[in-house]
Amino acid sequence: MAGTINPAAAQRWSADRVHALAPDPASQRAGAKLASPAPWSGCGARSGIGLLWGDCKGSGAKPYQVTVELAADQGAPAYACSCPSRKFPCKHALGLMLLWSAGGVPEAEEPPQRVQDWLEARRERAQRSEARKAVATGRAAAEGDDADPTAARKATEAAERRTAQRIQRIDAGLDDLELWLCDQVRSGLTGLRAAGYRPIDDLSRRLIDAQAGALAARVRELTHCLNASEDWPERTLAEFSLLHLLIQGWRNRDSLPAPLAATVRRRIGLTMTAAEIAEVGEHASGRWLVLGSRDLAADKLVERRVWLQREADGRIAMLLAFAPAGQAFGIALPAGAVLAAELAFAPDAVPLRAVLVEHTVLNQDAAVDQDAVSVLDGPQGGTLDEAAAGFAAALAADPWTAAVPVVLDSAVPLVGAKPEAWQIIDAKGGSRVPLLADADGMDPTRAEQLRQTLLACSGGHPAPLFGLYRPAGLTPITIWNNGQAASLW
Amino acid sequence: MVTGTHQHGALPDADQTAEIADWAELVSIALVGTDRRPVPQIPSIAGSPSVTGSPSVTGIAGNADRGPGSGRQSQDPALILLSQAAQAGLAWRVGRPPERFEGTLPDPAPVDPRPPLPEAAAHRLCTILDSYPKYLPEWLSAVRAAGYRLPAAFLPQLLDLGRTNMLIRVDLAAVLGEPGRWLVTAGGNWKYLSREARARLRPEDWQSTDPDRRIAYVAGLYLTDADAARRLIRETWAGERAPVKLGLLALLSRYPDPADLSFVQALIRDSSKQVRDEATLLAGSLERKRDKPQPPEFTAEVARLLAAARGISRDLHNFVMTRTGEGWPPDGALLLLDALVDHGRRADQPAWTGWIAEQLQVAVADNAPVSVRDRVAALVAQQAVALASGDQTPRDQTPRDQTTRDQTPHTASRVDLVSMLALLDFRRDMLAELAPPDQAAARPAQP
Repeated sequence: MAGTINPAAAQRWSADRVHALAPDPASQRAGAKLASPAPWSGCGARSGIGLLWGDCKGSGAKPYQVTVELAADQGAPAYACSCPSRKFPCKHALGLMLLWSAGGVPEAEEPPQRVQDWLEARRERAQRSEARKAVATGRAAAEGDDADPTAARKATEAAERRTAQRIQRIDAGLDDLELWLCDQVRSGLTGLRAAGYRPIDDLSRRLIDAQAGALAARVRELTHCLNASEDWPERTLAEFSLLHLLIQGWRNRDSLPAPLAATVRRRIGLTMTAAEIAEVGEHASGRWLVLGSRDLAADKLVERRVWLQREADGRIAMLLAFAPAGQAFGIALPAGAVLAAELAFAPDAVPLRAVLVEHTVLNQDAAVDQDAVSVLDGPQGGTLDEAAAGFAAALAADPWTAAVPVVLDSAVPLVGAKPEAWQIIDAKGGSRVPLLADADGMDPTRAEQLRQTLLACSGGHPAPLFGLYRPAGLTPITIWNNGQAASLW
Repeated sequence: MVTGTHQHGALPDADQTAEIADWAELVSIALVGTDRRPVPQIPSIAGSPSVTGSPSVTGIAGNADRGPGSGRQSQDPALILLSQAAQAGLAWRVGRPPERFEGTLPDPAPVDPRPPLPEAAAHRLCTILDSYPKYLPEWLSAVRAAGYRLPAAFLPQLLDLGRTNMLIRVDLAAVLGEPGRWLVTAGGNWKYLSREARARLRPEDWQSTDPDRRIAYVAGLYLTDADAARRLIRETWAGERAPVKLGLLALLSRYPDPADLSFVQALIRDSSKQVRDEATLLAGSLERKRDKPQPPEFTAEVARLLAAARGISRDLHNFVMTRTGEGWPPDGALLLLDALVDHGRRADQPAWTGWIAEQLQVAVADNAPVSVRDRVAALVAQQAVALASGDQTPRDQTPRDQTTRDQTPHTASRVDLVSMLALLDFRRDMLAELAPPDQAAARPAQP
């Protein structure tokens, strides 16, 4: 390890970049609290090889021993801490990194013994797993050459049998769903609204058993449609017809154009892995600006969506990451960051989801040539009318589209007397849409705070705004103020 | 913004929608159920290629000749309704295009010429708001002195704090500046800010009929020339309306001066009941202030109380707690610190003094001048040396070891110097980050 210069870590990271690693806002705050020198002792860093260590005084008598190794390849850093926290990285690791980012960790020549031991153990582990992998590949290759063909055939058959079984289950689940939809339409939607959550819960559970997870989540959203105030009959019938259309799409999937069939499969719950997308997807490289991100907590899993915009043509991509609640995400990209990346878009009727094939974050470190970055001091935006046209086009291609990501070039929030009366004005196109705090359900105090933050950041001046557009209104995610991105979520 | 989407198909044109069932009618049928209302038959719907509407919807629906329902596909009214709804609902889901904006936009926030807050200080503010709200007043007054402009995203949260915390309002108003005032006028529920002083006195505010602007003028005058403000209040009092009088009374009680007593006592016969009540309260507190002896000089009083009790005492604690939130002289703070360390070294202390020591320790860390920090750091180092040389307990102490160590307090001070040092370090860094912009040469100031 000694002597090899790790380019990713040779420069100190910005505090934003460290903050983005926090698994949740609570850890972020706790980490920031520990970013002062007082609780630390025996701190040291070898920035050249991306290594930090230190002892943090906790509530117990013995300080927690923290070690962080910043990965050489832009990946997530490796952490070790003797604290019992199940958060990952824990607040001690975050605090140490923040302290280092602020220049509070002195450079040291030789890491203490425990750090060296840890590195040694990590290297051994990595070597062992390499070796295991090599053995496994070797064995597979050997088998491919001369092993008896029946075993290979058996394995393929088993895989095919599993796929067939899943498709059978989905078929049965969809038949079930169609019957249920028809029953409701026959007896009237008013009855379903009166019946409460129970029937929808039961149905969604049956669809999970049928291994159609995305469809099950969609069915669960029916409760929001039924509980909507004014237009619940319209919303519910529209959602019913979309579910029905999804059933028909699944049955006709062989005769559909490939991208549309992929959309149907995804919306049922047959998602592609990142490796599959990277293999079959359309590749697009360039410099991408991080438009913003949002975390959605669903059950025990938190889903993070990060939107990127390509500098060359303004194309928008969405990265998707999942993490168990309280754990760090694989991707940590604060709004306003610029990366040079090659993306692969998942095949879809409206290609949006993408995976990072390879990337380098450009403007996180002070050392990067500022001229190269200054080109991307803001996103490329359009008007509200263009956003509406974009939504209509997306809906025509993928009837299940709920909202499209849009960047407005010059948006101004307009205060309303009531929370629902706030508007987003497009100062360039001369049109307006309601400001939506969120599609469904959000703490009203939090929503009010977000509206006020939006107003404060805009200062009434037309500014670039990134958000999700749906005909009912625009949900703001990031606003740019004098070239600075301010995240509203 | 059409990016991110590909224009595959077009939406149905207006003249084609005639062949699609009426959406509103479909909704009303679905509400009561197809058992009770028949579904209108549209000849083109059963999967014929002539169907209009979104090509992708038509394509997805296909011939629908699979699945268990295929046999009764064309007969089941429920399925027919759902198929029709998929087409007819599309136009509803596309919605209307964004409406035109005909009005005029309100005036934008004025440009704030102050340099932006350094990045480290912005992060510090997050930490203060989350974990150390007690340091917010000190932080605000340092920012005010340095003359920085805050990132706009912090404004709503700080304005919310000022609503309940009156003590920070003067500094808050100065730090938020004109952008803060703009936000209050534009949308916020923080009217109190418009009664605070502006960056510079504007005589036109005093000519205004708006009570808030008149009060803001006097508040500003108090900051520059308190006697002039007092004279102005007396001169114009008779002609003021009740809202202005209440605001002026609030200012009189913010800067209490026993010299105002006779003036305030005369107001007890004011025509407005609210003014009478406020004036009575204020007169009472001014009387108490007049009758109370001058507060003693901090260092001398600490020394006297320490000598009287030969160490820390309840009286000392009570005195110190009345003097929090004001700048302490360094010698007084050091006296307290030494008394605390001395207290920690002595084994024969009654149990109740531990609580007092803890309180004093936090008070010293929060109120002492930051220069005391070096003395605490030296003490921590001494303690570490003492531990390493004299203490036999092994390095890896389990909680059990901790309790045994507590029973032998003479090995080390019981005063938690390390956490004191942590607080003092926090304050020192906090103030260091807020050096005025011309002193922070390394930072390029952006316009």
